[in-house]
Amino acid sequence: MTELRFRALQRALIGRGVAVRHARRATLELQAHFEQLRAQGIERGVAPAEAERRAHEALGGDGVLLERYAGRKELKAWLCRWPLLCVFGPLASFAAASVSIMALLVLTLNALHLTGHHYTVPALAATVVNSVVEVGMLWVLPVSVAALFGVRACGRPIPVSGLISGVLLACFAARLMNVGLMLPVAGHPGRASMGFRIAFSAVAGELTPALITTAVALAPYFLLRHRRMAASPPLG
Amino acid sequence: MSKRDPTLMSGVPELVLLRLLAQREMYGYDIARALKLLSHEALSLGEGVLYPALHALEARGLLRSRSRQVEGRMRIYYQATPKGRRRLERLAANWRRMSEGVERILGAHHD
Repeated sequence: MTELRFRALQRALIGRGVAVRHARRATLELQAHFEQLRAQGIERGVAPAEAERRAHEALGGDGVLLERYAGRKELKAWLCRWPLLCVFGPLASFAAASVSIMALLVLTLNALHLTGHHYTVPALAATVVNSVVEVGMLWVLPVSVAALFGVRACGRPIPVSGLISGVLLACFAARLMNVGLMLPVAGHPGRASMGFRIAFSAVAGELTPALITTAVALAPYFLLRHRRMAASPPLG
Repeated sequence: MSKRDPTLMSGVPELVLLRLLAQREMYGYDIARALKLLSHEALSLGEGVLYPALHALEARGLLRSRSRQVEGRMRIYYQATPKGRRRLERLAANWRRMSEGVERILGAHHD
């Protein structure tokens, strides 16, 4: 009963937008407090069941605790404190991750050049590497970033429409992007370089692929949501 | 606490918590006992309500906390930071000014 109460309370706190670390700590402290109140009652000669009832009463009702936590802005999760993060966060994170990965790739490859390792790769290998980079940057990365936002948003009081818009925005931006990694090939030695452009002319044609990637990116969110709804017992 | 007038009580939990934790480091159960004892049960909070207040004060940098293992149990101890002590001075001065004003009104003779 006690274990269940605190577990349900922790889930309810997260469901009301309280940051996971605060929700975990709250239940840890409340449970320890409860144990001390119960032990104190038993020491005074109160029957265990009555001591437990009194301890629950002294701690206060779950409704009041939920309100007190949910009413504190400083204890809320980032996505609940700034709901617009759900809309613009996936796109901003995707952009930041893309730029970082591109910079890292070019710097690493050119560092080899600077240390005297003048290399060339076969044309076929250059094409394969370029394709891998394209798939990674334009498909895997946006889907992963958007899916991560979905997982973070799951079980939180965040409007689903905001999350869907944010994920769609990131996936659509990824569909409009073109990237290419040019490696020095035999006959064309030099440094590795990376190209990047946004093709606004492709807007209409990329809508369907963007919707497909959005659906893939949101799948973990909806699966998790379904599992949580099926598993969570009511708050006592 | 919840049954009292919220406008009169606003800021009181922050004031009393900072006052207690400026003196020494304490954990939740300890704080609840001290509040009851020192206020002669006038401030008997729903004890669980202490924690959101403590966490919020810590998030604002007015308290710091550390975990300690005591008799096999993890306890989180809180203490006022220098910023918390400065805030306490301001809150205590405001509270004294307000309570003196109320005392004067209560003690005044009306014709």
